[in-house]
Amino acid sequence: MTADPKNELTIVRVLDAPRETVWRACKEIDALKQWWGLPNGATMPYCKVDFRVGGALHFEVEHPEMGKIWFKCIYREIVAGERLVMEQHFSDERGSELDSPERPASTITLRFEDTNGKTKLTVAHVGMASEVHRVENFKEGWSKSLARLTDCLSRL
Amino acid sequence: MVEYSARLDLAFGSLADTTRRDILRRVARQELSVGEIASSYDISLAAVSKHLMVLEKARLVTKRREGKLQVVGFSPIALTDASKHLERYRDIWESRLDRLEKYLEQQR
Repeated sequence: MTADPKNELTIVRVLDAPRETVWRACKEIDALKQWWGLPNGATMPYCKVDFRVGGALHFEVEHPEMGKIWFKCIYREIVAGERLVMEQHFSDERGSELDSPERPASTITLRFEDTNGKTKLTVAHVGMASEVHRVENFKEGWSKSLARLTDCLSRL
Repeated sequence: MVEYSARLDLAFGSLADTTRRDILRRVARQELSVGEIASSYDISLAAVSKHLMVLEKARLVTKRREGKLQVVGFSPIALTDASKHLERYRDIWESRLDRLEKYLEQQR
């Protein structure tokens, strides 16, 4: 499936730390464990980093509502202290890439720049899945409302 | 938003046919092969394929290959609002960056 061109997110954050420190926080496992994976109420039971082009950040997020979700972010471009490009896949504990139309691979680009002694971090995330929650729940919900819709239409 | 409405038009338009509504209802319950779908209707395989193409184009179903079979599944991408899901990803990133900020503070 071709990605929706609007399916693109850019976020800029100025961080009060030297660029080298921010860079390390984005590549070292002890740092990543503390900030990368955990939406509210979630834990990260597994996290492994193989920091080289072609290597990956492989992790599991366990969320009370969304359940367990595995991700694999393959490093596609590493320019030390400047730029990091990752290809994020939905995955499993073995690290297989489980891409599907509902859960496509997406690309995350992090850009690091100096700004007045601080670091400007630009995040660009492109081609994300159209549904963050568990696809199964989502399907069930829509299947119910669509059944109602089709019933409605059939009576017209 | 305009794009979303256009997608919805296509989705609803594709449902203006009894057979297609029936197909959709069935694949919403479970994935079915093209052959399994065709066997329930008194129309040709080619006609069923055409209906499936309309539903696929409207982004209500997806087809994938499983060995020799083509399996059809329910995937109402057309009905998700793109702007809303971008907002969810924005929330994920904002909170992720909040945590990064906190982590960096601790490092000082």
